[in-house]
Amino acid sequence: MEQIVDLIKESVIFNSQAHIEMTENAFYEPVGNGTEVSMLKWLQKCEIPVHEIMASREGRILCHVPFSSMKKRSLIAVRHPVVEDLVRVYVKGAPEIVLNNCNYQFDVTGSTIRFDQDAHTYVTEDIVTGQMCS
Amino acid sequence: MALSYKNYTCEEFENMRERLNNFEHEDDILQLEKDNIFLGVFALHDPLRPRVRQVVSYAHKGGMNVRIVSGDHLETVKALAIDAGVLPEEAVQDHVSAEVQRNYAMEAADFRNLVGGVEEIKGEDGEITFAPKNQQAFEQIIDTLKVLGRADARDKLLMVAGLAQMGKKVAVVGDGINDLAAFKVAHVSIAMGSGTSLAKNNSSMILATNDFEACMKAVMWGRNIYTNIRRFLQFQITANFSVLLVVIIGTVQLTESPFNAVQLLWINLIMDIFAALALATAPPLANVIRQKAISDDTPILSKVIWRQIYGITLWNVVVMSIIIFAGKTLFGLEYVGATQATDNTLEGLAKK
Repeated sequence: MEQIVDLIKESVIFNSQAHIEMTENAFYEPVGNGTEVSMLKWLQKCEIPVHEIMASREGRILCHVPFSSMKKRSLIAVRHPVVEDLVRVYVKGAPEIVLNNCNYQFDVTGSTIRFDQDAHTYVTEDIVTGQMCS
Repeated sequence: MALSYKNYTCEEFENMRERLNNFEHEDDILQLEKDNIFLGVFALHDPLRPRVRQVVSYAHKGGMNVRIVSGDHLETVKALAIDAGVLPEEAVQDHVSAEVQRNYAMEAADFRNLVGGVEEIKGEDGEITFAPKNQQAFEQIIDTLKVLGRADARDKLLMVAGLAQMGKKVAVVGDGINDLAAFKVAHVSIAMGSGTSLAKNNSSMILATNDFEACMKAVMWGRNIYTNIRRFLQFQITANFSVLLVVIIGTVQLTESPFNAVQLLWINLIMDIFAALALATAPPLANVIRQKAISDDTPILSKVIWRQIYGITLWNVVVMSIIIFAGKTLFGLEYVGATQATDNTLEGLAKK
């Protein structure tokens, strides 16, 4: 489970165009696109040292496709700061598009299983359209 | 928003890089996202600003149509549009078929397919205008269509260009670089104060407080200025016509002007300036929005205004003529040399 939390943290922080600034009263505050800022603030609320993790990707970005309204997703490849010999590619964006390129998912125990058509429809229709949009 | 990831070893990554033209192009980089591991979906709740509903209903009253072209998921935009009052609630109820719902809210990709994308037309003077490839299809669907979801810059441009081609006046509110194309085509471009400076520099108006309400204030003041100019013109023309006619009639009959220079100056300087100022600076009433929008071919002086100008001028001339020609007997005034008594100009004083 721990590893999934770490993955989510990294996905949000590494794959972000926002940056962290220090305010006058010495708080770290994310600045940038509204959606990214809200996600970073959410992590900050969970007492995660966002600025430290953000600083650890410095110089390790191998390639980057910034978010654009045409592509509707952003992609970044980071040479992992902790794990040796690992390049991790993070994709973040509109569910319809990101999910089409997913072939695996996690099960309750935290091991990876196939992400099949059923799971795909479950996520896009039941969760995204059915619950999140209402 | 969905997150996914994939692990590579350094060696694998280097191999990929070599295989994919060194990642020269963004599309090459996007090859990396194949076969990803799904991590999760997130939804953010972005509440509507207070009073948006009121502002939208205000716009509708003023004969303005509000449409939303958004990059968000169609269902998200629909829910938001209903909250804001842009989309009628009955349009998306369950018993309404998907076909009918699509008339109100559409995926941007479908819209683009129906209308056939945007086309550049070069005018004779080299000016480029944009139009949808299939203007007829556009006009068929546009009446009910209020919401586009998962749209990008092209769809915004397409929407604005199509409406402009129909002879409508279009205002676009935007905040990012991807709105620039639509900004150029729109008649009025409005940038959010929180938007990128590129958008702000290329817009005709900036919402400094990020408040959509300000757009309606702009409309209100715009319509008010138009009304004020009409009032001012009506007053000026009436006053000047009256004086002109009275002077002509008086001069013909009495061989000299019934007004002397000071009186004419009084009319032109004091009365015109203060009355004009009062008329031109009248603040808008709330119901100014109920007036219909003014189209390009409306003359600034309408028939009604001309009728009022003629009527009041005639009334002024008649009253003045009665006072000039029959004033003495009518009011029983007993004095000699009415012209001399008021003749306080330098010439008049010199004569005495």
